[in-house]
Amino acid sequence: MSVFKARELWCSTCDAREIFKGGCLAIGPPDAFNQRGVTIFVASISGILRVFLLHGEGHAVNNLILETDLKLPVIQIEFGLFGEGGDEASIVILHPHKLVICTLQVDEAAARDNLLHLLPLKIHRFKETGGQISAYNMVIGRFGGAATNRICVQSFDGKLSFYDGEVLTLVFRLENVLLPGPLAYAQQDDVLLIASSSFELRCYQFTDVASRLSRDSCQAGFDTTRGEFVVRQHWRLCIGEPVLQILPVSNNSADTRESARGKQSFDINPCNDVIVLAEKSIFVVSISGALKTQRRLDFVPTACRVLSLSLGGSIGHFGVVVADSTGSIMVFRDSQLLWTSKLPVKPVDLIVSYFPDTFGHIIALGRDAVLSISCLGTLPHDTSIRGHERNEVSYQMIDKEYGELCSDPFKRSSDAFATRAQQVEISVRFQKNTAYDVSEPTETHYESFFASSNVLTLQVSVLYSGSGTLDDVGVSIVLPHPVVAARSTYVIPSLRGGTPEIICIHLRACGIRSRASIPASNVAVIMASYCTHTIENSISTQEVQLPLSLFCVVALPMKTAKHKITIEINRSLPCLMDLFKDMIPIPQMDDVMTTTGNALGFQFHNGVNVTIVTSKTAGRFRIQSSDFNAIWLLLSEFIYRLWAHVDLQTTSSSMDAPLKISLQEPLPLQNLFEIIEEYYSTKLECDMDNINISSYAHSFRAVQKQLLFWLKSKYPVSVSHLGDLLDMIVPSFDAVSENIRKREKGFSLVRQRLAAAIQLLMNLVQHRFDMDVDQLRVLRSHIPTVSHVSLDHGWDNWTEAAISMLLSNRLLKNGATKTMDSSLFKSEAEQGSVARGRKNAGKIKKSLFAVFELLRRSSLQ
Amino acid sequence: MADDEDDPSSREISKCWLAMKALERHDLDECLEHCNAALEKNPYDQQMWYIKTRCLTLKNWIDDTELEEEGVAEVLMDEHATAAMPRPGTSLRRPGTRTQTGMPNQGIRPTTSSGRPTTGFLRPGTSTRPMTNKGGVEGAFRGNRPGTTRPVTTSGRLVRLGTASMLAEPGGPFINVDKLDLRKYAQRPALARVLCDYILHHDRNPKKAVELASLATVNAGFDDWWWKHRLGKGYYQLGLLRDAEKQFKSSIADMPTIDATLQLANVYIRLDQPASAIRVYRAGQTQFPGETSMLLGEARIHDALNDMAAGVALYKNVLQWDATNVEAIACMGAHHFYTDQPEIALRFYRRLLMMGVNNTELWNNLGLCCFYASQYDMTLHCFERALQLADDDNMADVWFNVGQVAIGIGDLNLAEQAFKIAVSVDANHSESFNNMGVLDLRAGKVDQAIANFQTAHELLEFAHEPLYNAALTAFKLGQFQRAFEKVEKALENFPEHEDSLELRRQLVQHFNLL
Repeated sequence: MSVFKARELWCSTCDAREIFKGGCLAIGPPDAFNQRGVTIFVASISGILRVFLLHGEGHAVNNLILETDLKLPVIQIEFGLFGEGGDEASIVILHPHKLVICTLQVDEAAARDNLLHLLPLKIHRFKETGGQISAYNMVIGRFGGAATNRICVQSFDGKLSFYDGEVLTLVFRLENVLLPGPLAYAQQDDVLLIASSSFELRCYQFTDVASRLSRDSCQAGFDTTRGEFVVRQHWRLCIGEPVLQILPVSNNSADTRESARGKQSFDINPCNDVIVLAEKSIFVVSISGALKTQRRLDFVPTACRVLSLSLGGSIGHFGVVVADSTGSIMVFRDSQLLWTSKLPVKPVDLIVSYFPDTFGHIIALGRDAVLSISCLGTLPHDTSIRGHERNEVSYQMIDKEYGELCSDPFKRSSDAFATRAQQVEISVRFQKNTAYDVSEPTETHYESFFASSNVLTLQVSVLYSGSGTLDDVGVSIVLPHPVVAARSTYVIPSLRGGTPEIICIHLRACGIRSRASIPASNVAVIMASYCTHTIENSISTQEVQLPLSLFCVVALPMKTAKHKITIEINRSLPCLMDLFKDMIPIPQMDDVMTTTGNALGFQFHNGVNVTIVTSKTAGRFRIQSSDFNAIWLLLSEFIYRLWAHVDLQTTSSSMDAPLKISLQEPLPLQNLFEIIEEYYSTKLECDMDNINISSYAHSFRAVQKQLLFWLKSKYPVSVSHLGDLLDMIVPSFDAVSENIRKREKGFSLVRQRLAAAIQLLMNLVQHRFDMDVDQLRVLRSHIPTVSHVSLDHGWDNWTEAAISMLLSNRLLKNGATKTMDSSLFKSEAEQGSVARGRKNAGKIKKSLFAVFELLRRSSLQ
Repeated sequence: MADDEDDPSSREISKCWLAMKALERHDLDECLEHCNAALEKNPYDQQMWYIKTRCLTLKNWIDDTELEEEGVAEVLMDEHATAAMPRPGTSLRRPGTRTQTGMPNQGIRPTTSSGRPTTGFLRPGTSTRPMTNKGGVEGAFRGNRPGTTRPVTTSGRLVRLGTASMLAEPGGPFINVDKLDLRKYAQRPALARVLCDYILHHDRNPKKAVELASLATVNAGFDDWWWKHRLGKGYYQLGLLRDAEKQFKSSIADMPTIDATLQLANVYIRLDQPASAIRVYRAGQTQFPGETSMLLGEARIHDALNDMAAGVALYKNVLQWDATNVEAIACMGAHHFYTDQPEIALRFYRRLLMMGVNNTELWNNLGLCCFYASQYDMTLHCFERALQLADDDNMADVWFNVGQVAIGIGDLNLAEQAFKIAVSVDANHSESFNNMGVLDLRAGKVDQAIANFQTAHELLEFAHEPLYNAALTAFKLGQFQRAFEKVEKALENFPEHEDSLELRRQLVQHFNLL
């Protein structure tokens, strides 16, 4: 039962190889042997005697005051007070063939160290009294009301020998003894209690026996120490079970062993009963031999002791402490279980001790050679249990604090500031790196598109604004096609707060020239991932617009072009040379300057030329190219540079009206729609291929199934037709898979072109309808340039859904245009429903047209 | 001292002493080693023979004051019937006949397969013992677990245990009782006592034990209670209950002991005289106040008689004497659970848990208490723990309860799965069949439901639920005659079942109209 655990106060481990049995434990009263404290004696069968001296609770270095090898097995050890005045504290050690009474004495040679040694006072050898007999147990008492304590030793042949000091005074033999049993002496009634092997408790009145013996011996002239007399018991009681222990309870002791201590006195009412611990029960027998009560034990008892209880402040109640083989101890009073507790050891012997200042400690000697002192599961008396300290909620304090916080906004949000401030900031700077080695290893099948002068170094400065150090900050860069870097991820092992860390990333345009296409974006994304102490796993992102020189080079302008975009501005255009000064390499400067004044040509890495032609007088410029998609990058770059140039001028003289860029001609939707159609048709082909390949896979599975079926069949048939089938399928399967590979490459090119076309269209829409940045951002988010890789969920699905939502949520709610818009939308929706299920560009074209039409109308208003 | 140290004989410790100490500490193997070593040297060493006999007895000792299982012969050929007439409230064979007030009826507290209400503690012989011959030969042969049968007679099983223990000993049996001259032994009390215990507990040969005991008791002048007690024990094991009763009574008259009192009560229980058994227990309680085994014995009889109130009072009394009595705590927990106080039941079960009891049944009960006490977060954890510890014997019950909880929270799919697992673990789990039937009925599978109710009824004849469910299904299907038959049977098992009474009333009305 593990409801409570006994509180261990002190413990000591003896040598685990030694064997300890019941009777190996004894306790001396306080201040015996002139030692201040309680002495505990532990002896093992191997013959090692240990004496512990305990001053109080807790361990001390000098607890073990003596450890000596007696060189003989120890059967029992007892403490006793001998001598005339009963003040001679002695240890009685019972060996199989010898009884030794000894005392502890300070070693004179080592008196300074207060070392003790065992001094044998009296020795008695059993073999002298007749043959080789072996002792079984002993008991100490003032037999027959003697003035001093004497020792009674029971031997295996059923003899009881009484010793006064070393003098053998009396020997007699018990009748009908097969094996000796537990022995006890009740001082008050002067009776010896012995358990016999026939499950009986026998009682011998000592005075009777002694007087009869002396009378007989006088008559016959026998020596009383020969042990030839057989005595009859005073009474006997059949217990019915083997007896383990007999404990007489008398008025001056709570424990038989303590009766010998003399000095210890307890105010206990006379209660002349005997407690008998048997194998399966515990009995209380009156000293007259009547069974008073019995209690069945449903455990295997090992030892028991009498415990005087203080109930309700009154003393005089007995309890019995019973230890079982599992280490539990039970306290019974009148067959009521008062307390149960688990000892840290499985005891072979037990003593209830009375320390000078505390009461009721249990000294247990475990079978694993651990000596432990515990108390019954509670704290010592001096520690009172205090009430639970409650943390009352003070609403006044809360209100006060809240008021303070409200009045001081800085303090209120200081934590938030602190959190926000503790971020990693990324800043970038470009540097033209002429010394860069072009032959730096990249992927081998790539070739550099431009000369080494087009290699740029991106200096990324990573700064941690918080205090302390960040570990393992990862910096990664995502670059648009065809710009590549030697590495895409960098790790900063430790980033100290306030100290920027510079990472140099070399960028250049390279790839496979045959597959090169117009770039779909010119923005690189740099991310720093880190882990702070307060915020876990954070990311800082920075978008960087890459320089034009990474994508194209200056070339001779082309006079004729298929696609032309003309943009008007409200002021005179600056010289192209000034705008694109950084693009023109110094050796070519003169050529460019001489050939044109108002035209500048650029060439992309796939060989497409784009020409910018400006008209200084009319305030317009034209961008023309043979490829529609190629225009977007130059257009956005030109406008970007123009704004930069104008800003520079306005700072110097702010007289002019603000710059206005506008597109007067209609949007080149037709070109866009062509690309969209191309996108759709390519996607349809890819889908068809996938359907084909899945049908082939089906065939494979069918063949496999057939094979498995015939494999298990009892009557196998030829499966050669399956071989023919496979021969037919495999080449087609290979062809289709090769086709898919090719189409996927083509599809990625189409996606690039589509993205570029949309970029251009967004630029044009902005200037055509004079949209501000926010409006353009909304539109861009609905018509994305990023094309998803998945075939099932590509750009078309996204855009269709997004435009439908844009039309229904934003544009149609625009008051005045509502009627017309809804009609447009309805027609589109109806057609969409007809065309549903087919991959058709019609729906998205209609939707896009509707969007731009609505924008046009709203811009007119 | 120096002489002794040099003399090796003085260092030797007697084997006998070592063996005795080992026996005291229950180090039986060590004790046997010492004994065997000594007996090899001197086979006539009486001291060692005595110790070894005790050691072997202790090794095979079983507490025979607990009621053991009845054999087939005892069930079928019961010659101790005191009255053929029904004895309402005074027979263990008809537990349902006791009138009771204020206690949960059969509808709330489930019954065991023997038809008595479940208690909180599984005891030998009380949970599955068929106390009537209703089941006939088939019922008498049915053992505790499916697929096992009960022994032909109780002594038959004991004999088998005895022969098994002989086989386990190297070098054949230690004592060949048949060859012993028991008269000689009967004259030596110490040897005779250990030999008698050895024959009873090790050899399981009550006939020889009775022979020895009768010789010894004659030798002791018929005034030794111990021999009378052993004689009674032997007679009891031989099935001579009236002789056993006489011996136990005589033993108690010589000297009242707990063992003899408990055994006498057992004789009366075997004779189906619960009132006499209670009388014996009460007499014992006055003699040995606070002896929990007697209080528990009486409480068990009250439980078996379906007199819960008296049982609970006794369990409370037990706990006053011994607050760590597992059986009393478990029964109190069960009582509070079935009287709709799951929170209090939970405290009792928690107490058991603190005491170190850790088994499937306890965790299962904790789970149920948590569920009914609305501590839903703990419920499934408890059942998980219960399933971790479960074996084939009790896993079905845990799954059944998981199913019950699932029904409680409305997860009928989980419930059905749980019941199916319960049935797969224990094909004789009647309650799961019944509940599966109800779920089938909800799902519209009427035929399956009827089949399930039928199975449940066959497996648990005392239960009224499958019968009532079958009756209700038949009623709804318009099979009034069949419904009437079923509801009549249900009322036979549980006469106060309100729903069954109502159904029968409706059926009678229908029949009258027709």
